[in-house]
Amino acid sequence: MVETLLAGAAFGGALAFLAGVFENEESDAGSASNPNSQVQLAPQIGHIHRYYNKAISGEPPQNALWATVAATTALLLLDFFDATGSGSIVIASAAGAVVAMLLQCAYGSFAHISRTASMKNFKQPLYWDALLVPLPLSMAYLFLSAFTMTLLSFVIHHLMGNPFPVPLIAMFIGFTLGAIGSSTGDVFYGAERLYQQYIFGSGIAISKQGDIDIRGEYGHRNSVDTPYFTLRFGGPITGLTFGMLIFLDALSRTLHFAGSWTFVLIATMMICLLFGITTYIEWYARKRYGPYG
Amino acid sequence: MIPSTTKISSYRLFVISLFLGIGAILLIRFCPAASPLATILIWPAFLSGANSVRELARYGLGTGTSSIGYWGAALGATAVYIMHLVEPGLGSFLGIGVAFLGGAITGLCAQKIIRMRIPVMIRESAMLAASTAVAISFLLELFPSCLLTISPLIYIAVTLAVIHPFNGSMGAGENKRRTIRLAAAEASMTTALLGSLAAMGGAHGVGLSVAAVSCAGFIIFAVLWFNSVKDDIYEIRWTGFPAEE
Amino acid sequence: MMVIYMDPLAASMLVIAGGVLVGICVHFIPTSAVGAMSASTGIATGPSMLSFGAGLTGILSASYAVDEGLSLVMASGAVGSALMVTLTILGSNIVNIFGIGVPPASGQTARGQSVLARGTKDIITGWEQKGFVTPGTDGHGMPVQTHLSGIAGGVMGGAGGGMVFYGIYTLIHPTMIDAISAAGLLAAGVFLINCVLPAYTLVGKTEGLFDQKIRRIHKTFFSCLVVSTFFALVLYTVVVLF
Repeated sequence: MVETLLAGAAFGGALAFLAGVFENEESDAGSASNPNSQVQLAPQIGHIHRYYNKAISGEPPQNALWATVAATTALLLLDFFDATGSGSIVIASAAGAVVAMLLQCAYGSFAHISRTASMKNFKQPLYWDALLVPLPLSMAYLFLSAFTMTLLSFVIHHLMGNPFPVPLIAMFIGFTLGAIGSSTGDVFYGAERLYQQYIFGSGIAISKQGDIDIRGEYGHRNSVDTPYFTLRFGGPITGLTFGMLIFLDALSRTLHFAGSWTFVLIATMMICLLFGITTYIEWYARKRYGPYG
Repeated sequence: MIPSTTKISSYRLFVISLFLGIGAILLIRFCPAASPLATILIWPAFLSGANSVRELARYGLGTGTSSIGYWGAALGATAVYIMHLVEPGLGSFLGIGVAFLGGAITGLCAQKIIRMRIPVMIRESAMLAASTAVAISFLLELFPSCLLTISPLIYIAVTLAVIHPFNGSMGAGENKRRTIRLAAAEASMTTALLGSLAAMGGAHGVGLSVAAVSCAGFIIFAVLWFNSVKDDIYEIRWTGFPAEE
Repeated sequence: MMVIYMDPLAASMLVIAGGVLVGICVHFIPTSAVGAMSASTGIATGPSMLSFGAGLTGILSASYAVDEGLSLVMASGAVGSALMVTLTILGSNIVNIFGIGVPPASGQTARGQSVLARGTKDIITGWEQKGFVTPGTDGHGMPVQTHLSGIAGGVMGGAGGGMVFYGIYTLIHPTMIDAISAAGLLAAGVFLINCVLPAYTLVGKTEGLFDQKIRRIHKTFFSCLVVSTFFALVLYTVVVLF
């Protein structure tokens, strides 16, 4: 029993880490979620850009859709072929992720084209290559993130013994990962990558908003370069956060020294520890950076 | 049918979609052979939901468009699922009524207690909840056996189909015609997805016919939508660099 | 497996109380949409989005304990949500400090508008906030006082989600075979409905307990009470009648 739970924690943590990285890159490749408002604002202040403007919805619901589509398709496929065993689960999850990928392709292209059409007053043209070049990249990241999230749902259901059915777990972790991805990794994209022309070490003042960097390493910036940049820092931190959540949650269920309340005790201790770490980091930053002005 | 819907008011669109949607649910339940017709009849429900999201979100609510959508769909889905899980026969229709009431009560709270200055809040939130309830009830009929497996997907897919038309076309030049055409394309995409899943895990024949009709509809609506994009857009180019400022 | 017995009326009350708690929790979790540009204190996402993400983690945690009684369900949900909020704040602060290069600072406190403190200092640590805010922004990251408020919000949201989940489960499990999954789905629905209403009150941004917007909490309380009562009533009627 403990071995199964430990295996679940190990597998789950690793898969969650990967899912977090891929999810963040997928959203950065399409400038989704909150930084999207800056890409949306840019033409209004005269910056005609070549970003892929994939505004599907807030990150949590869209991510929940990809995870749920992939997991439901995988489950129905397994039922249809009467397949059991881990090999078939992996193949079915890949098939489910393909369906999610096609859906994202449709939603993403619709959003980009339709939003560009709404920018008529600001003279933003639709460049086909600015859509068609990043599209396969974001689809590929989506495939990987949907695939890992589906496998993670199966791990949570089968190895960790959660009583919910797999699609419901997929929806829950999809929402959670979307919330985490939009609040950790996207800050790096929104405050650093989009505003690289401004000096490092300051937040983006309200008056500067919309003044995004439209110049890239070669010519104008496109959405293929963006994941290349954010993969260095934003992606791993998102993965770390989500991976730690799944791993710590699973790990605290492996021990049973205080009966059913063990999980609550261990998790409370972990929360205190994490609070301490966060406070230490804040203290360190204040000491190193000092006040402005 | 689609060009004319751009001129009618959201109230009339809702009443039409409610009757057509209930007809679609009855058709697919009692006469599976007519499922292609039922598929066409359910699309107005999605359009009505998308239109309600548009009417609400146009005011700038202080919360995202997506929050409005998933909240409205949650009202519809929760009402339908409560009713459906306990009483499958009549449940769908009672669920639509409960969703309408729930939407109205929530809108009333937002209007009277939170004091939002949106004149259409009560009406549109009730209509949003009821439209999503109609769409969800229809999609549930495609899966008679594996209800709990499929219900999360139905909930979230309807949510996206309802919010995305407005959210995806947002901007200064957004107009109702393009948004509604995009809503039609995405409604048919959603029914195509769930139809093909139903062909695999639920009602096989019905699922296939729903998916086939939806694919045809998707192509028609996508072309219609792209025509209105060509009318609205500043310029379409294969490639190029923005002019120097 | 423990036999659960709870009066349907009491279970409906549990759903109402849980729904209200869910609504209130949104006021405590610091969130701000422009946080994604490090332009405002708070986790960089919509208030309802983050609360919903945290609440679902709570319900997922609570589901393991559904046979162990109400108190453990609530406690599991609470720590599950609080863990999610804490980790998100840690991750977000790491990005802010090492990716953007800004120290966490509370904009409202720096302007001297904190609800509980008089000056411009963090009420827990006593650290000065004023000079640490980038000029032109409303703070960035999550300083200690906001972090604590977020944990409190997570605890409330998770406990509330657990209460809704457990209430619905005890209501429907005599009539259904697979009641846990149905209860999970419906609890997520009730959670969603209740956590968007406060977002109307907060208008996209809050710093948690120390924000002036905490004074509008009564609006959230009453509207969530009305809406949760409606849904609890529907559930109760359906379960008793059919």
